[in-house]
Amino acid sequence: MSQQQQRHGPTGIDDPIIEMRDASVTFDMARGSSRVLDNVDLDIAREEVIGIVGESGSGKTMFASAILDSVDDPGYLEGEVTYHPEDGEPVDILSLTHEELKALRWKEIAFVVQGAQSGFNPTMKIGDHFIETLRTHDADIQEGMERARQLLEDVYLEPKQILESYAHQLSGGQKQRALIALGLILEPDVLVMDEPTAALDLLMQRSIVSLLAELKEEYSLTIVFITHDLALVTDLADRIAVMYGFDVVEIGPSEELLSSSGHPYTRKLLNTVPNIGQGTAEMDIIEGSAPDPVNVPSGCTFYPRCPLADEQCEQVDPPLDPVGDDHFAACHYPDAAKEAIPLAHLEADE
Amino acid sequence: MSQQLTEQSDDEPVIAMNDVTVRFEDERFFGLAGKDSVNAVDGVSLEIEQNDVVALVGESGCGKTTLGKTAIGLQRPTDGSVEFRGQDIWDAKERDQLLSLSRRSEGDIPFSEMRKSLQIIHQDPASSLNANYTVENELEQPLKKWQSDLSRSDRRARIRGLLEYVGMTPAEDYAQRYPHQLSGGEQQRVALIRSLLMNPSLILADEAISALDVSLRVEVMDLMLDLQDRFNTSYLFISHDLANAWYLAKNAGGRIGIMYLGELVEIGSVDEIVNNPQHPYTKALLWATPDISSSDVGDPPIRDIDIPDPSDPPSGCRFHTRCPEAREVCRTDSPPIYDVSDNHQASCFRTTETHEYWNSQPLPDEQ
Repeated sequence: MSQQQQRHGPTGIDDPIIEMRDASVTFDMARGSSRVLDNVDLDIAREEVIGIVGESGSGKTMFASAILDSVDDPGYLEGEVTYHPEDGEPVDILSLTHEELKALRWKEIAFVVQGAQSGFNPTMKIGDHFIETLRTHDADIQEGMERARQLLEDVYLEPKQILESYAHQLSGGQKQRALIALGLILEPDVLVMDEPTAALDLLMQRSIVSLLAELKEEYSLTIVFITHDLALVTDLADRIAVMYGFDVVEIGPSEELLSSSGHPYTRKLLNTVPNIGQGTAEMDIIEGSAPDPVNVPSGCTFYPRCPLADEQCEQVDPPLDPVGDDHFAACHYPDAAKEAIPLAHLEADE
Repeated sequence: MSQQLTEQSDDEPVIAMNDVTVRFEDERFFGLAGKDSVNAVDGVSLEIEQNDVVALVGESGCGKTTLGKTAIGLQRPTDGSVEFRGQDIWDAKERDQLLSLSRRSEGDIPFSEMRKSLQIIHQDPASSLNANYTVENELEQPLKKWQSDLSRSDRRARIRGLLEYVGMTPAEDYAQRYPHQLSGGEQQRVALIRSLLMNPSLILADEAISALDVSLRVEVMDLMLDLQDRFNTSYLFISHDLANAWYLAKNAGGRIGIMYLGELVEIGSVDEIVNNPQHPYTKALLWATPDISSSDVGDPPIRDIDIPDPSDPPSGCRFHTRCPEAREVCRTDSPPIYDVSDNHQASCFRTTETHEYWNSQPLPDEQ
């Protein structure tokens, strides 16, 4: 265990706000047990923006749920998740009672879901959501609503009008921004966002990303931005973690990860995104399909689709090994991968 | 007969929309309290040639789907006309509905022929495939209807051949599957084959790849391009994502059209739109399109990040409320479509150096 700790290491992080060790989520299903998060080790640094990128079925949403032990039954979470408040003792999240978790949520770690989903109660005014959240956490309502108005202005909304509206009266982009403001109402340190912009138009998506960069500075936030869209998060994120087959396969500083990714999946994923800045329009494809959680391949989860796979990949699950400064990839052959899969977006620059 | 017709009318564009407006009306209290009306499409002209690709890009509610449906005769325009190879679609429909085939003169294209030539693939392939049909049953339908001279074994051979062609092998196995046994990308391929079996002149692909995983999108677009060559068809590709529109149109040598609040505000070759955008809205969309080789988000190049209510569009240029370049004249005057170059038009005063815009006062920041 201690050896493993060291090997995976805190992936280059000195002052983590959240530490996740060996986190696994399992569902028992009729056709076998389904592992939708597989021994994830990940540290999130204080006041960083970390992008968690993965396609559907990669485990990225389970990762979000694991941070606050909010995995839905019958799934169960094992491992360790530790929250380090700025001052005070570390909190072992998995040992908290339901009540203690509730207190931690919103005040310390806030979640923002996709606005198109059930973010707001359709029968309540937006303002009532703010009041209710403040009341539930015994916060000063008047002071809190002052803050609410400021936060709404921060996200380019007209506070008076928005607080008096019902969710259906707002556009998707307005709803999503109101949800971000609501997430920040109790001054959390960490904001976890699961596909916060997926249902929105590009112009709104990108505007929200630009907004988050401002909010992060203003409120000293740590942001966990979970998305399927690698290109969207690159400007905002300090670090990016790529998930594939229910585990992190590569993690590193954004620019480094984009320019010298060590994992074949990351490299192929980058090559499947059309990139307007690129002169030529040659794109790569990834053959095959993502692994089935009931029947995860032994060894490296990517080997059935990987052009470089050999016997070792089939048998031995590669650990996250350093491939650069603060940059780790779970691949047996990171150098060969760089050789074999040139990055289209770099070629075009030359 | 139809073969002959197609050859005769090769000079005409497959589809020509002339000054098309589509108005939707919503009656309040059964019309007693008046009507709300929205011009989902407002005065758009667009021609699509044989073997052409046009990608329409815009935010939700900009009218791109309505314009697409109008192009393939699924939506009747309130004003303006839609012509299929030079013949008005809605006139043809009325004429043929009267059942008096004698009214059809030599050279008239039957409405059923137009319908068959104009196909659509949707965003959600699962809902466009019959859940109770196997892939083979699904694909047999158009062949039975339009190529009834094929024998059963010929039909099957043709279907197997196409499945193999789109990479769904073993075809024997795929032919017997039901839609729920296919992945999203495979479902979309079946939908694509089904529409191609009609030998269409134009396929409307309405957000056809948006629901697919990122790594699958390029694969399906590549297939569309490949099939376009093989079947000599045109695409009207609708997307909210400029990067995908760029990829498809670039590889097909097509055009990109940008829509905003019911209007086509800019259209041109892919290189013109990307490297020489004229409309500030096009520039904003380019800013919004993430690029992994750039590194800074920066502030949005728009003054207001929310879209105005489409049922009450702003006066003058509809983009003036968000446009960073807007001046007084933009509030009052609606810009016509200006020619920027041969294959590039934009609806912005800034494209003409002599316009009074340049002497007009910038709009104050406060609305």
